[in-house]
Amino acid sequence: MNILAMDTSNRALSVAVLSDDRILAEKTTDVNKNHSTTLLPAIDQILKDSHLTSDQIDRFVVAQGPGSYTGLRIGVTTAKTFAFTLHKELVGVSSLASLAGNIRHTNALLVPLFDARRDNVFTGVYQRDDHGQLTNVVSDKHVPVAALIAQLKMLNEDIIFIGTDVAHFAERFRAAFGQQAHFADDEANLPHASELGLLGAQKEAVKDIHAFIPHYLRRTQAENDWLKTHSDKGHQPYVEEV
Amino acid sequence: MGFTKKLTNDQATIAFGKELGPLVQPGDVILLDGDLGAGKTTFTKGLAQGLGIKRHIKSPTFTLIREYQEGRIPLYHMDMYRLEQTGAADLGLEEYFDGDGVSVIEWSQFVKDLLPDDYLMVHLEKDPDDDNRRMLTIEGKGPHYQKLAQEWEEADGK
Amino acid sequence: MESKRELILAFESSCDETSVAVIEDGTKILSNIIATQINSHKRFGGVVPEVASRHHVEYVTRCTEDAMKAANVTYDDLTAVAVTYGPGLVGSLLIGVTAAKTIAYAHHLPLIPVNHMAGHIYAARYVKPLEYPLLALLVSGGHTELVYMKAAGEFEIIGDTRDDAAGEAYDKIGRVLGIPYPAGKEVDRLAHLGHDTFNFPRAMIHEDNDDFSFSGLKSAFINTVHHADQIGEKLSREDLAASFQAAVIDVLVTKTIRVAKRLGIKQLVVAGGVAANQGLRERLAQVVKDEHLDLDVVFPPLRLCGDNGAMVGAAAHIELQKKHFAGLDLNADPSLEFAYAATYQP
Repeated sequence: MNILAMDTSNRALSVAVLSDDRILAEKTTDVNKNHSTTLLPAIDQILKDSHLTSDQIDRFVVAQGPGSYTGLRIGVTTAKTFAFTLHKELVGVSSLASLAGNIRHTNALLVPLFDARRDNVFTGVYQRDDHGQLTNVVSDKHVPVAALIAQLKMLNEDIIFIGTDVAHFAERFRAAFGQQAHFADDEANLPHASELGLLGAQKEAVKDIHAFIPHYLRRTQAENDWLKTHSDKGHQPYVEEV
Repeated sequence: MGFTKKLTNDQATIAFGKELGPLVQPGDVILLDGDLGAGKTTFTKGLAQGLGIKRHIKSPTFTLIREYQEGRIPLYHMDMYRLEQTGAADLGLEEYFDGDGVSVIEWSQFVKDLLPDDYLMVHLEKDPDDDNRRMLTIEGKGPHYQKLAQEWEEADGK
Repeated sequence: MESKRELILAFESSCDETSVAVIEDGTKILSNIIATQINSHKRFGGVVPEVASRHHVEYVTRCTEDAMKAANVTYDDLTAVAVTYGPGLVGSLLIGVTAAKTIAYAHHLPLIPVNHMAGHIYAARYVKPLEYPLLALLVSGGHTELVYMKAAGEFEIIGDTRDDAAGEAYDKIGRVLGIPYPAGKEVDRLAHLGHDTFNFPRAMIHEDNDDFSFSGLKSAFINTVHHADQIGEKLSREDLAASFQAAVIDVLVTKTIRVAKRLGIKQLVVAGGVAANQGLRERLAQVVKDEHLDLDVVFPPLRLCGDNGAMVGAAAHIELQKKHFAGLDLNADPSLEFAYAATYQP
């Protein structure tokens, strides 16, 4: 099975082509966030390097979130459009799981995170089981850093923090966890689409490609405010073909 | 720290805004606070002239942000009017604030959470007895903007 | 060889409508699927950019499938893919641009970038062939422009708003009248029930330029309502709407007709969301009749005045002939504008 995997959920861009579990090509950049101009040229390049065309891809795997909303939409729209228009499989994988997957050969808690501003993070807790399989311990969510720290304290295990945004919080993590706090190296802090592709190879393909959307993990502030005083009933459908 | 300024008509508002043009630096953030029709866009026209921008400054309500590149430094004119009760998560505002131009934000109260800690606030109020007259209150938040407010007041006094 | 039909798959997502169309030869609409988000944004009193972007992701492939099915064509039949890349909301534009690029790449088709405003003008092509030189009055939520077209696909701005767009003024005074977003249609309806009693200013109507200004009108309107409130007087909403609309239309019509006469224009296209306004349509027809002008005024059909893929396909047909194609690095340009005429004095 040929897989094309892509991650545009944060500043870094990563794309990879895999044939089953063999990595044919991978390209990762951490230059700017303008994924709109860089994603398809990067895909074009790694497909050429792999001597493949897009219609020879059997499965499109995308980092589905959380992350930057615009970045997620570019990746998800590209992947779902490929799968839809070429009648191929589509799989979404957590952007956080993909980062956690960078760390192997440990049974420490793996805590990938993205800065969500105002002292919040997008994060989840992962761990490798006895067979080395990545498992999800605490599901991905949007939480205050303080709440994450409180939750990790209860788990009371060694922790590896992963991601380029970890640096903003490193001092607080050291203060809270002392010797139990460990930090991933620069290489592992960047997303790698090859890892995303390997995780995506194991998942079931989505059934309804049209309904596939990013996992933003946050409703917009507009909708939150509106739902405080209203009910969805009587307003839907929000979008109609006319 | 700040000062107030009484202006008799639109031309005076433009002239006052123009004086700020030579003083602003890349990365500066200016908030314009005032009701519909208080003269926020009029003030921005003056600032644009002071930066050497010749094009019309048009209301950015529709696209939220208009960019003007032709002046001494770029002007980013933002209108957050349509974001009332909604916020602007992921509009990429911080990229403008960290950028190479001056950002002018109308209706900034709707994106409070995304604003930098320091900024120059220009509050515009209509005279209740005369629709043409305006009372402006200028306030610098943080040392950089207190200095900017002071320089502006001095430039205006000359 | 059998001559192949020219078929363009066209995407539009600049604001709060996701639309995909299949157009034959730039003149025939095989399908034009429009998914409108208006029910969603009504909740907030205006288009919320982040919410709009999210809806576009939910609908873009669905609309594409429906457009291809309704047109009864396959990807092998297509000649090119076209997409609006600006102006508009950046997050919204990006979804159409991303989907269009991906489909063009996957099926080895040329990609045609289209200016949204060119699309609005070319919506008139579905009424009759366009004749150049042509004058277009573009009136929408974000634009009020007079555009001169010497030939097909050539656009020059000769008149422009100096502050607010006409459509924006409608929404802002609508808010003062307590009319929910979008206010244009309701203000138009109220205006037909009232009379022009307030005599609001007709800004720049006699000035020797081709520009517009609606900011002063907006202020005059707000001041009038505000002063009445202060003394507890209740003003007729119908008369307020009628007076506002009369001022807008007076300026638009007077200046447009003056330019058309000066340039010896034979065909005037009125396009954009405000082109759906009944008051504007009636007045233009009246002036042409009263003054016995040799001027053919073309309004796109009501369904094509709003944002839609068909208009993008019609504009793309011209760009295809000129071979104006984009690469895989095409980006959304939220501030895209036509060039100003060399003679234009800001």
